[in-house]
Amino acid sequence: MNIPFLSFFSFMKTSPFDGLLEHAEKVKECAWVFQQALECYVSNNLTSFEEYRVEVSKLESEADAIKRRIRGHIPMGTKMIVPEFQFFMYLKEQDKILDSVETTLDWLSYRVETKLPEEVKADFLLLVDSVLEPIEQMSRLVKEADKYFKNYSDKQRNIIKEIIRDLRQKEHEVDRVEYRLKNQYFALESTENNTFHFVKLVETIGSIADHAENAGDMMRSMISRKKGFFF
Amino acid sequence: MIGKEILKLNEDYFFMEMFMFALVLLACLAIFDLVVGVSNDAVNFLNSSIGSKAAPRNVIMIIASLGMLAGVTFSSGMMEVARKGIFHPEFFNMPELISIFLAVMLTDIILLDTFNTFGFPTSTTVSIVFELLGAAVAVSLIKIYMAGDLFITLAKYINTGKALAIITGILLSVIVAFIAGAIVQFFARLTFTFDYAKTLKKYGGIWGGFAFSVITYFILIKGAKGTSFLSKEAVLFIKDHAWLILGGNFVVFGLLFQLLTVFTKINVLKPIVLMGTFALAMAFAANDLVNFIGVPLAGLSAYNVAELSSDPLNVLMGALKGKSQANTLLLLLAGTVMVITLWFSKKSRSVSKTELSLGRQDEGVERFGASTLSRIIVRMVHTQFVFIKKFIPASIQRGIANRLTIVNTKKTEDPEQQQSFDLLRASVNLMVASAVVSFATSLKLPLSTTYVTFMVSMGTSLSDQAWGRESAVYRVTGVLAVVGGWFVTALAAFTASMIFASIIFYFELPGIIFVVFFAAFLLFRSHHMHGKRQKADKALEAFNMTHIDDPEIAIKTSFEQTGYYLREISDTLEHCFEATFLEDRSRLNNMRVETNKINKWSDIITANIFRTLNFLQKEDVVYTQTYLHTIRSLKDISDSHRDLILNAYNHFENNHEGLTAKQIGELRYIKTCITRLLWNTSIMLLQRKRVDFDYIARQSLKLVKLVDDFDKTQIKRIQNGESGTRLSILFYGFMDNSVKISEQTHNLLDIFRNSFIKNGGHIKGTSNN
Repeated sequence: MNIPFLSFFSFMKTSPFDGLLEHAEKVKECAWVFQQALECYVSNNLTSFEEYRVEVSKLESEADAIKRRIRGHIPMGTKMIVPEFQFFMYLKEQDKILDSVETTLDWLSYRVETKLPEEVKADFLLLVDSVLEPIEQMSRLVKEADKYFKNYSDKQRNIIKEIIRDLRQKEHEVDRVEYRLKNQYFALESTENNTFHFVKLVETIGSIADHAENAGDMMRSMISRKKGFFF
Repeated sequence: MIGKEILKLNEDYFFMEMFMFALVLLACLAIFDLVVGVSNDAVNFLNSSIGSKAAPRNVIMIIASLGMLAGVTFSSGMMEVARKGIFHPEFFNMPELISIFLAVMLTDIILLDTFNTFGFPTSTTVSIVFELLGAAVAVSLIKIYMAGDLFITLAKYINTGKALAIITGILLSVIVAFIAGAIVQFFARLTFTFDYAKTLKKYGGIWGGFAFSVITYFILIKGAKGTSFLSKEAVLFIKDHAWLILGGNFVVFGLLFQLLTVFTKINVLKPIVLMGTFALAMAFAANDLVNFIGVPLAGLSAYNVAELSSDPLNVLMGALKGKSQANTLLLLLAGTVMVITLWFSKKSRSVSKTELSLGRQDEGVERFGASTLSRIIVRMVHTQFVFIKKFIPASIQRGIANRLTIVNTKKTEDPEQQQSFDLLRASVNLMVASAVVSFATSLKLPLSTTYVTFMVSMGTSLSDQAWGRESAVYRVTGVLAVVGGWFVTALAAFTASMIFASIIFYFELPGIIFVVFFAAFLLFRSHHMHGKRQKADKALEAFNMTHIDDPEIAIKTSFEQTGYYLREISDTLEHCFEATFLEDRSRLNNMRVETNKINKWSDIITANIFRTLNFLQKEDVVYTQTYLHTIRSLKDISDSHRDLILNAYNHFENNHEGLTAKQIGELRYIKTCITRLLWNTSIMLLQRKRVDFDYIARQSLKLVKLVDDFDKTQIKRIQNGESGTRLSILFYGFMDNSVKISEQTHNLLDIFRNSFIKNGGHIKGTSNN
């Protein structure tokens, strides 16, 4: 139950969102390295691509460690303002972003020598850029949610809802670019293997934005007003 | 008739039970008051030894704790100020006195805690006196009003002479302490110089004898005043034979210290400082304990007197005029609480920090800003100084200048271990403070130990040239703020206590409950605020590089600091963009306030980079150019960041129209680009990982391209009348400033690569792509 007056005492406890924010920032950092890796792939700089792939893997491990720490050890003074189930589901979804990022680079590494056709390069980079935007919003979402659970103000709630709406819209944009890319690729002459590889690559990149959107939906349920006895 | 008497007896019984509850409350408040009081007063006796690092912190704390316990034991427990010092108890009954005491305790806790939160030292004596005065005036006025008497009869209830004596004492002690501190320090420094190792061999005995005799006399006069194991005759002897005792001590200790300096390697200044710490801690516990537990004990006395009476609720408290001795067990209990607080209070460290930062010898991050008054004072003093110098022969000036040349002290990597000032100054601080307090006590002049120790400390730092032209304005602002706080103490104590006493006296139990909850609310809030302030201080402290002497650490720190700085810029920019989209004035206002912090960071980093480049000892033009470029880049980033926020704030403060949906959409792209660029640069600098300059350059180019594109669409909007002048200024402000920040960030990264990476060579994992 949300009791605004009690939030006055909230400073006595640590927020569970601190760990979540740390994780979100790691996800963001990882996403930028991911973008750098894909830019290297597009420009055919394969040595750098491999270096970045290893770095993503390292960052993913670091983020995993943060996730495990949050799951396995909630400090005694932590005030759980949302049900643990919802909280961990959100964390899981946020972590899936990284899994997809890692999977994308791993998948790409199987056929990294295959050059990307010139016709799809621009849209491919656009897809990567579009995927990055929702990820960048994740840390802001956590920060604003933390603020909301301290004062339960409507204004703050609206800011979060706005971010979630933005996430959905961005995911929709990613879907459109993904669709366009697939169309473009199918119109090209290519081997079955290359086509399969490219389509799956594009779908995996697209799934990153899906996870960001899902995390947004989780957050939406966390900030939803519970119907009480009087209301 | 009998029924009425039984009813009255029952009523009296009920009220006595209620007042018993009030006494329990007073006892709890006494513990809180001890905690906040010690947190504020600890600086008096810890400042010199901690500032000069006379011994490891734990040793200093043990000595101070022993001093406090000794003080409690020596204390006579005469709690007379609370009982009859400020008001005449014979005009009040027990319920009225309990109302006064509750109001006093609650005000005291709130007031001292507020001062602790802001790290300002104040006098617990002044606060308790004015609280007693305020509460007594409030209750007296209500009584006079209810009795239909003239308000002029208030003088009958209040001991006005005491309050006036205290104010006079404060003003006098503040001035005397400052001047005495400055003069003694000047001559001590002239004798010993900053490089005192050699001179101490010659004059160590004289100095040690002099300082020790003053401090031991202080212990005697402060301790003997209330001790039970010295007879009245002995106390009188001490007072009457002050010069004999001082002279005897001087000879004995002088010889002892001279032998120590000649035959051992012991630095005689250390025992002086530690002894001074013990003496001041003892005096604090012996004399100031009354400020914390005197009021609850007076309440207990009043209750006991009332209980013995047949009409407990109406009997007047004339009996409190007599002398009363506090229970030794209670005093020891209070002493234990004080010692525990001394060891664990975080707020006492905040108070110490203020005094140390105002008196420290080094330059660095200043805690206070500049004010018009401080500028005027510094200018005035400087002009006077230049004028006086004309009349002093050049040879004397040269001689003084030679002896007062500052020798750089050894820097340590751990800022906690860095001396704020040397042992000579610490010994002067303690000796002069002890002398001033002893002198005033022997003359029966009321003064505040806090005010004396603070002003002595400021006086000695002035003489030691700690307030050079680089820092004087800020330090004077700090001193003015602290001194101003002392007057606020008196005023706030009087007013708040008056209000609380009125509420408690008029509304009784509901009034007590309300005031207690209100106090609890304020305490929680101040606790929260203190945590925030500590966090901010820590963040700023991280930027302080004055303690670093190693080029490698300096380079590493420069990278990190710039990384944090860019990350902060990125975060605030993101918030500014979003707040502008939402037309959120309050957020923009918060960020406007934060711009000062960013500017401060920028200035500190500039100074630090200069220091770092200095370490690299590149004595060519490129070196100077690099430094100038760095300054320009940091300044431009900070200016653009401030302009961007101020533009947005002013736009909505003037109630201009918000951005259109299209403009928001476009600015979102700009925001993404600039924050991405800043964050990535910050990661590269913070982690000193592989620097992908191409990536940063691409982001920068992308931003310029976006700005170009959006410029065209904006022109169309202006032509269509979709965007007015103000809105266009705001829109272009965002774009232009973002481009400037991006360009300068890129430049900064370039400078770092060229200046440090090539020269440093040791920086791992950095490539010049």
